[in-house]
Parts: sequence; structure tokens; C-alpha cells
Amino acid sequence: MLEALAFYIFAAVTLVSAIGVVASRNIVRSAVCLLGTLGGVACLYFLLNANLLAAIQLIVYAGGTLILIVFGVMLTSKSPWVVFDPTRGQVVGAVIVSILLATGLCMLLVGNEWPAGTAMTASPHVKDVGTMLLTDYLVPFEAASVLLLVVMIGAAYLARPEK
Amino acid sequence: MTHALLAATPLWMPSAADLQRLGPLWSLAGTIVAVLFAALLVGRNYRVAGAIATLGGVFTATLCWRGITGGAVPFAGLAPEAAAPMLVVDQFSCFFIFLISVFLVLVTGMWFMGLDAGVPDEAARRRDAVEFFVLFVGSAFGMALMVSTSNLLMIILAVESASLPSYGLAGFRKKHRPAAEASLKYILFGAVTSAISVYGASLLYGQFHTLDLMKISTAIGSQGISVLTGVGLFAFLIGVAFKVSAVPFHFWCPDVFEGASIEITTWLSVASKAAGLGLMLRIMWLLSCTVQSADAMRWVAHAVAIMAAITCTVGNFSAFRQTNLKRLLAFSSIAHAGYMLMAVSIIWQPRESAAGMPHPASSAVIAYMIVYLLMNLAAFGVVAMVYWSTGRETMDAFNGLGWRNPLLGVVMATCLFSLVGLPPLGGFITKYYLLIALYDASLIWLIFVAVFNTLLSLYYYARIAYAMYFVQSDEAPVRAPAMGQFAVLMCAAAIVLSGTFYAGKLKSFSDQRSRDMYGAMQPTGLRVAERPTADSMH
Repeated sequence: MLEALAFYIFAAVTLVSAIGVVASRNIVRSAVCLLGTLGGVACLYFLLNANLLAAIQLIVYAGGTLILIVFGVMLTSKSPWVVFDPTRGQVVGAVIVSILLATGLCMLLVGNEWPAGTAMTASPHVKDVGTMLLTDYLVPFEAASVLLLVVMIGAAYLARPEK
Repeated sequence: MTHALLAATPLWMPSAADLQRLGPLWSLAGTIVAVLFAALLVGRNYRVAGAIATLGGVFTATLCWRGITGGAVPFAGLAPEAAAPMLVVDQFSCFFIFLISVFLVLVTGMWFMGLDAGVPDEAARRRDAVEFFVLFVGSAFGMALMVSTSNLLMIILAVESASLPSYGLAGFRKKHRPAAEASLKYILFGAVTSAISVYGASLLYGQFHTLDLMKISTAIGSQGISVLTGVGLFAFLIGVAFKVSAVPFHFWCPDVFEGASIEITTWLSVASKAAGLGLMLRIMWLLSCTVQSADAMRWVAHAVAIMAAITCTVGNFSAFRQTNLKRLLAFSSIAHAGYMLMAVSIIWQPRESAAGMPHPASSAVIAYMIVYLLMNLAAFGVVAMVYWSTGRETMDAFNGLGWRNPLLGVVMATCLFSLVGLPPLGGFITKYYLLIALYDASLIWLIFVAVFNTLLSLYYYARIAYAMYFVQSDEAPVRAPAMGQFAVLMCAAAIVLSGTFYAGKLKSFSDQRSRDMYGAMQPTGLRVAERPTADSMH
């Protein structure tokens, strides 16, 4: 009962802020609304017992990406009050596509069985995930570390000012 | 604490033999680290960085060649018994890594030649060589991973490892506006396609509770393809189609090819496509590896066939109006990706004598890829040398090239007619193998599409040849580095030889490479035991 109530509250927060993200014309306001969406999703993860995933969602998305977006806007635009003005045609097109896509995906997600979902019973501990990363998923973990090394070099190169 | 952890989970160590099989991958990863460490020790020295990249490429190619000639047996593993195999090594992957690392060495040579020929941003190039080669070898590493895995998670990581450094490479000339624009388009397009791809993978995982393509294939065989599986597969394949630049995921290709410096254009035109096609072939092959799943995969294969036909036609039609040679060759490469995708669409068809016989589709793609590498290297090489000499990449820089530099003219004409697919050149014979494979698979309509497209492409390739020989130009003769002229001449000679005296050898070589492909149809040397599905993250 309590869980269901919490779910509806968090889902409402997520949805309302998601609408705020797309409806707001000021890009900084959109970014702030995004905080509600990302935080709401993190709370949903908590409800699903995915503690680590929720923490990562908060740290990486709400903490990192969001601040990056706000900084990006502040550093690149001429004024902090950038307004973006879609035409009526664009809005109508986007709404139609989104509704079609959402309906299709919802039908797919509701109308099927999910063996991977039912297999999740106990709450996963951070320790288990860590063990997994160094045993079953060691190879992807290492591949990701090579990827991050290369990407870091590339980002440092692109961000470095020209002398 | 540590002791408790160790006792709770027995540590897993891959055997030395397993690690040795994956030598090419370690070698490429090691090259990245070596380039970085060398920069720490000797400072920013472009010669050292380039030399290490070359050595790394040669070493990787040698290891792969040993795998190819030593008859590497199909192997899938490098994960504890409970998990799905992460990496695959077979003749097929060895061949593709060989192709990629040889190409790495050749493009590095081209980069050095560009320095000597005096490109405009020469000083910046020398200074930033270390970053350049880290990104360059990094993308090669990603492409090598792409062709040697059968695991959804690893495929996603591999595609990212190939893409992210490529974004940096495309925008490497920071002061060049078109390069920055190309890089941005590339990133946005790549980010969207990989997001869709990851979503598709999550749908597949949720439905089948495994990341291993082989197990997914078995499940598809028993359950058939539902709408959900279809949507998941389609979304997942979008990420790969982006790498191959199949229509409608090709929009980045012309802009990136035009904006990036010519070495990077050459690199992406062959290596990115080779890795993408190798991955696509492997995915389709593994998903249809049992009789039932092959039957179920028929519809996915039909979708790929339609995409291949559209890719070809759109590529050729868009090439018509181009005046920038790099842009024109970009559309040409899209069209060629379409031809090769046609082969991907027939790989689901089971062969009766599957155990010993190679599949004609993968064999045709391998032969096509070898000749395609030669053609593109030589064509882009000529474009590069004309650019170094005249500073232009447009069609009018090629006016009268046949008289201003006869050797480059002859090489370019050979490449162009081979790209069309005219006999007696390599491009003809490989297209012929492809059409034969399509005919065997009784996809007659696709053969008509391919032949129609060949006729279309004749027009714009011949237009360049016409400009080279029949348009008068009073410009100065094109001066080109001797090494470069020698290299493109060798490519042209190889194109002619592969279409004539060595056509049979090309065929038997590519048959051999696709014979021992990892998959259920080949029962020999298969190392995949039935494993419990305990690979979920709980």
C-alpha cells in the first residue's frame, strides 16, 4: 500500500518534470526540470531495490550531467536567457511522433513477459555488483577502461586551447 | 575483509592459452599505452608516436596472420563458466583484424607522406601527433573488438570504442570549420543511434534473460520471432547500421568524409565499414545458427535485403551531383556498403553441407572487402596527392590529370573502373561472386537492383575519368611524392591481378576464412558448453 503510494508520487514527479523539460522555452529552466525527472527515476530505482543503480543515477546524471548541461549553457551562450522557439509545425509533429512512439512502446512493454525481471528477487548489494565486475564481467570492464582512457585523451585534446 | 571476499567467490583466471589466442587485441591495446608512455619519456615526438603505431600495427597483423595460416580453431570464451562467452576468435575475426591493422599501417604511412608534402596545418599536426595516434589506434582497437564478440554488452562497448575516437578524429583539425561541423554531426548522430541500440539490447535482454547471441538464437528458434523481439533486434541493429552507414543512417557520412582530413576519410571509409559488416555478418549468422531460428530470422533478413537495396540506390543517386571528390567517394562508399549488405541478407539460409563448406555470403563479403580496401586506398591516395599538389579536392582539380601526371591518371582510372565493377578488374570479380551468392539464394530481384546500380554508378565514375583525359587544362603538372606514387601503383597492380590471374586464389582464400566461423553449424572445435543462465546482474 505504502509502496504503491510512493510509486505514484515519484512517477508523478518524474512525469510532471519531464513535461516541464519539453514545455519550458528557457533552456536553464528545462535543465532544472530535468533534475526532477532524473531524481524521480532514481527514487523509482530505490523502490525496485536497485540501490546501486539509484545511487549511480543520482551521482552521474543528477550530479554530473545536469551540472554539465547548465555549465555548457552558461559558457557557450551569449546570454543566460536563451529562448528557443519551435514553430507550430514542429510542435505538432513532435507531439504526434511522441504519442505514437509512447503508445507503441507501452503496448510492447505491458503485453509481454519479462523473464529477466522476475529473476530479480533479492536486493543486490554493492559488493555483489563489484564481484560481478571483476569476475563474470571482467572483459567488458577492461574494454570500458581502455575506451575511457582513449576518450579522455581525445577530450583533453579537443578542450585544450590553441596556443 | 579481503579474505572473506576471496573465500566467498573463487577468483577466476583465464588460462594462458586463452589469453594467447586473443593476442591481436592485447597488442592493439598495448600500442595505445606504448604511444602514451613514449610521450612521457621522449616528449612530443611525432616520429616516435608514428613509429610505435606502425610497429603495433605490423605486430598485430603478424599475430593475426599466424592465426589465419595456423588454422585458428573457433573459440569463444574469456569469461567464467557461469557467464556468456565475451570474446570470439576464429579465422573470420583474425581476417578482419588483419585487414584493419594492415590498413592502420598504410594510413599511418599516408599521414607521414602528408607531412612531407606540406599540408597547411603542418606544425599543428606534428605537435598533436601523440593524441592523433592514441585516437587512431583506439578506434582500430574498437573495430577489432567489434568483429570478435558475440555478446550484446561487448558489442555495444565495441561499437562505442570504435565510434568515440572517430568523433575526435573527424574534428581533429580544430581550426577548420567544416571539420568541427562534421564532428558535431557525427557525435549527435552516433549518440542517438547508440541510444536506440542500447534500448534494443535491453529489450532483448529483458525478454531472453541472456546477453549471448547464441542463446538468444536458440530461444528464437523455440519461440519464434514476436513483435517485441523484432523491435528489439531492429533497434539493436540500428547501431551497427550506423557504422556501416546504411541508408537511412548514412547522413553523417558525406559531411564527415568531406570535413575530416583525407587520412581519416580513407580510414573511416574502409575500416569502419569492414568492422561494421563483419559484426553484422556475425550477428545474423549467430542468430540463425539453428535450423528453427534460421527459419524465424527470414523476416529480419528480408528487412536487411530491402535496406541493402535502398542503401545502394540512394548512394548512387546522391553521388550524381557531387563535385567534391571526397564527398563523391563518400556516396560511392555508401553504395558499396549496400552491395555488401546484400550478402548479409542471405546468410540466414542454411547450407546442406554446412559442416565443411563455407557460406557463400561471408566468403563473398571477405573477397569484396579485400578488393574494396585496395580500390579505396588507391583512389583516396590519388585524391590526397592531387590535394597536396593543388590544394583542391574538387572535380576541376582533376581536369587533364591524365596528362599532368600520367601515372596518377592511370591508377585513378583503374580504381574508378574497378569501383564500377568492369572486367577484368578485381571489382568485377568480387561483384560477380556476390551476385552468384545471391543467385544461389534465389534473390533474383536483388541481383536486378545490383546490376541496375552498377549501370547508374558508371555515369559518375566515368565523369571523373572523362575529366582526367578529355577536359583540357593548362594547370601545372601534379607533383607527387615518389613513395606515394609507388604505393598507389602497387594497389592498382593488385586490383588488376586480383581480377585476372589471382581471381581463383582470392576465392579460395576467402572461402577458407569463412569456413571456420564460430557458430552452431560448424561442430568442429566448438568450445561452448551448455551453461546455466546465471548471467544476470543480481
